[in-house]
Amino acid sequence: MTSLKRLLLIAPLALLLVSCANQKNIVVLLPDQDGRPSSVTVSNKGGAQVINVPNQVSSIDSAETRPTDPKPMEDKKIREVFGRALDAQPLKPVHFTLYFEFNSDNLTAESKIMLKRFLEESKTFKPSAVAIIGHTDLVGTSKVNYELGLERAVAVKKILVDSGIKSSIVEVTSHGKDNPLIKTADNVAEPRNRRVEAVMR
Amino acid sequence: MKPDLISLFFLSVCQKWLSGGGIVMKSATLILAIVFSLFITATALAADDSVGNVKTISGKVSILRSNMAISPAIGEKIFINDVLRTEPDSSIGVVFKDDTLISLGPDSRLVINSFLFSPSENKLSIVVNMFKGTLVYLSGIIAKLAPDAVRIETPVASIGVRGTKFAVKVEGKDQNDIVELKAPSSSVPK
Repeated sequence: MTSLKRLLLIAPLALLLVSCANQKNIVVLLPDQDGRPSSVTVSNKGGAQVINVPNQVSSIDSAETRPTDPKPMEDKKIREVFGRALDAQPLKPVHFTLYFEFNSDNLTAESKIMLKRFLEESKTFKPSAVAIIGHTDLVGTSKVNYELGLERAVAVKKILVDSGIKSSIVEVTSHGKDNPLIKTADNVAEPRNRRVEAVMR
Repeated sequence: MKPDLISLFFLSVCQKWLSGGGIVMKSATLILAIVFSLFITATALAADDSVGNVKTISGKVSILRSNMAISPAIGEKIFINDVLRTEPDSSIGVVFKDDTLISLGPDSRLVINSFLFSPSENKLSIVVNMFKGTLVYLSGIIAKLAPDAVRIETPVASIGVRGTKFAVKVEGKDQNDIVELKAPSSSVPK
């Protein structure tokens, strides 16, 4: 038997054994900075447990035993166990909405200022990726609006790239008239739907 | 077959293996396990679009992709089936295309099993497998639109998310964990 074949046999066996190993887990619900309601469910063959109070912890001893009832975990202890992972959390992505003039890829005067703010913030944020999604109102055909949405997104991309954001990290797409911010009947002119969403991640 | 089904399969194999049965039963489950791990290897080699980026790095971290260990830089793209690994005294943070944030503390192993983010087609899912270490999760758009499509799997439990932020610790059994052991079989030529 070649060593390669032996590996082929050993690897899945080891995989199986490790999968079965008794590995204790703990799950802690953390406070949501924006105060949104928050909860997690922890389940296995032994049953399920819901944690819906921040800073409460459930522990799981094996795949067959029900996760324990949630109980409080001190901040200090959370810090001790999860400090490094907490410190490694990336910044939350930043979303901007920029508006355009009718049937045009010209930004409104206000949105030109918003775009400057976006660029300003990108200097400290240092995005790894920028997503630009173009949208239109519901005046006109799907095809025309898809193209208009794309032109709007490309126009924003050009400004960003001209201002020093690397072209390779900027992704441009168009949703045309398919994803209006304000739902309207077809062929209704609605300035709030003539927009680009720009996200830095 | 979806990766989450594969993990379920392994769990059920575990149960059977431990709960006894004859030698025939054990051999049968073992053979099935071998076949399926080969299947996982095959799907791991398939290329896909990126699902996010590395945002923070501290110490020594690597990404295992198609049997290659990559030392990522900030901004590195991440893909389905990537294994994120941190050494002791190291950490990594990633952002997904739906704004989900996941960070790992020291000595951690995480596999990205599934990521679908296409709201217009209602294709939404994020499933990761945490084998070892510590993880902090902050939910993104997928958890908002389809909370049932978000799962963090560990060797002993499945964690479902209603939002927004939580932490998980998985105690690894030893150094020879699943990720290292999976690596050699990927080198088999097709």
